[in-house]
Amino acid sequence: MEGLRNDGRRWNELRRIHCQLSTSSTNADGSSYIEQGFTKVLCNVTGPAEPSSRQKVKQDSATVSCEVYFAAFSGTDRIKRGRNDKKVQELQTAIQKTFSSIILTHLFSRSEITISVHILSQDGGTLAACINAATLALIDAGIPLKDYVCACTAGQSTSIFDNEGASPDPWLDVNYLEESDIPSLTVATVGDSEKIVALNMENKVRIEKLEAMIAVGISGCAKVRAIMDKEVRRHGKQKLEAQGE
Amino acid sequence: MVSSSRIQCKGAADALGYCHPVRRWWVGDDDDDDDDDGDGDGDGDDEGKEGVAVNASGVDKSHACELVAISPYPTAEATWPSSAFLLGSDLKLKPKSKPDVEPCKQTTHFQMLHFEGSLDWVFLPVLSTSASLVSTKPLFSPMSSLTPQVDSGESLPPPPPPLTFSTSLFRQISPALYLQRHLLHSPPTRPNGRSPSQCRDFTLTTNSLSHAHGSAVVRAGDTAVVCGIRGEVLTIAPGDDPSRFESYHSSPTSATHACGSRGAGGASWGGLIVTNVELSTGCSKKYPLGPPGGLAQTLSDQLHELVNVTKLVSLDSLRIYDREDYSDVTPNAKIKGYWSLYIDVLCISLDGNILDAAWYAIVAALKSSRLPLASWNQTEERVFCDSSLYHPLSLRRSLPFTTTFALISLPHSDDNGGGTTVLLNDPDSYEEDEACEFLTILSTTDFEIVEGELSRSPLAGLRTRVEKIEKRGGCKIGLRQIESCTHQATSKAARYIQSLMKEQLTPI
Repeated sequence: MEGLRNDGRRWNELRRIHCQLSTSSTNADGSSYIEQGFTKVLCNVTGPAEPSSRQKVKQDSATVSCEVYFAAFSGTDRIKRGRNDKKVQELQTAIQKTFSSIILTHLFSRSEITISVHILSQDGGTLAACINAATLALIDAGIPLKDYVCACTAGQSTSIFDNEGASPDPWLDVNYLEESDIPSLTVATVGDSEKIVALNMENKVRIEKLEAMIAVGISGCAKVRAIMDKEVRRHGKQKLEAQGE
Repeated sequence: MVSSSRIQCKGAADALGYCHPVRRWWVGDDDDDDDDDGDGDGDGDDEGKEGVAVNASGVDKSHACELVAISPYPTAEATWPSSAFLLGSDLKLKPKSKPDVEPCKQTTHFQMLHFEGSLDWVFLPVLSTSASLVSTKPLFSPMSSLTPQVDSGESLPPPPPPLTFSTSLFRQISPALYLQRHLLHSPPTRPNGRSPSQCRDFTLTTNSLSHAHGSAVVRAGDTAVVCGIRGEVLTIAPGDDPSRFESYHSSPTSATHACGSRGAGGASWGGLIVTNVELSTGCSKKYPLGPPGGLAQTLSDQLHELVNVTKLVSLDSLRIYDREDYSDVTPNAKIKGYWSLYIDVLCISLDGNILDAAWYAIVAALKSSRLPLASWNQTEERVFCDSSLYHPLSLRRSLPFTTTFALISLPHSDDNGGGTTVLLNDPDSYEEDEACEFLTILSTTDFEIVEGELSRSPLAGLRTRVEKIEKRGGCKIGLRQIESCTHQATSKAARYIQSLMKEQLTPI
């Protein structure tokens, strides 16, 4: 088919996003689950609680810490990623830095907010799904945030010209096949604004393509935000109705 | 600042909820750096740092117990402010630096409290808890005779009134006694509303993960586990002896015997099936994030042993033969490789009885596994997997299931005339904390599917037998109790089978 990607989407289409809040309410203060295509991520948030160690105590703000777990069966190959794995640490740092700037940490001095992310299945856009899941879980935990943080990926086909001689459009929300094939980036924005809070790219790309990729990524973030907001409102309404009875 | 304050109380503690006053107490906190020292009062600092033990007459040491530890951080469980309850007379409660602040409004005021006078009273914060009590009716009288008195209680009459607690407070500060009172009640009801022999409802979903060869999600109450299975091809090098894999799998020994074959690649250790349990996922507040703890390692080993002892997977479905087509195995076909199975169990939420849930998830995931058809290619001298043809793993005909009981010993009481042991089927984590040991029964169920029979009387065609009983010593139980446990185990195994078959019958 002309103009369609290998999974049948157009260049600016997202994969199906399914999200849920309060998935495990007994053991965490906030929890969420998100599916973006076949990428499935579960997130638990605990806190604000007493810091687990003295080093984490900050007198004027809360400490945000993040733990990422790859389930051994999550990828196409069984790779056991330990705690000191580079990929895990990179993800942890990215999530932690992103949310330290978004959470109103000054409200919770001398406490710790722990975000633990479980990646059950990876099919491209792992970091984006982790950030989205963490936002939902933080909302579920009732931790004040400046706004939603929504993340999305965008990729750029490496061919300079397509069949008609025009330069090809960047692809929104790449899946695993595309991610391993073409350069892609993850972009996270704050709320409705087009302010970028996290941006991550690990491949080489032509400089003139970069702006278009980021622009497509930002537009994807807005779409993701709409979906997440809808779910948060639905969940909130349901919860209020349950309380009212 | 203060990380946790601790109120300890000694004397007549078995009367929590009943009628003895608490005689001896001290208040202290575990932390040393006290920022509020600036008020300059010497003995206040001492109280804050070391805790002051005050003797009162008539202390009975046999009734010592620790009451409660309080964290100053507002979490979902414990919400400040709390109020103080004072019993007895002659009490002067004086906040040191801020006289007009109501005592104990905030945790930090613990350090500033100064006490004088006689000590026939107890000082307890009220933990308002978010955990709801499932019990159908309150077994304990709520606060009846105790009213909060923040003022100095000089006008109170000298004999202290009986001390009672609200149910939720009692549940938190003395779990053992709380559980005992429930179980001594007639009919015995557990705090979660179940009867001792009743297990939680469970749900099963299989094949929800796309990258795994087989997967299952099991939820039993608030315990939820995900199990994923991945197969990997293990090619036998020309000099290797395949009997290593064969012999281990067919001999019912524990994993320790296989250590000799360690070093020849990951899968060869302990046979072809490797189990791993991940608990430190934030699934429970008891298991902190970090490297796998003792329980996770024990569980991994226990499950590995169970897989091997029960010979759950037939070895033949793991062999890869030297043949071009997928016809029946000829006697002279040579084994060229094996499938090794990696079983990973991820605990998402933990509320007791992880063993049963994990084992059931493993069995269900194995049952739903589809491995690609693999064959030896003579010309390339490699094992090739077919991209579209899959075959199910063949498991043993009758599937074994575990059932775990928590043993709770009840003390001597008038009703039963002596200490007895109660067995709780499928304990939750609250009960597990109080259990003195566990009893695990592995039972097997044979089933014959007759067309149409399943819907009418699902358990009629089932034949069960016990394969393994594990009780590691700790409590004494009678023969009759074991017998009733085995009955409960078989009926639970039958329910497992039923739900498994239902899940398998539904199209994916």
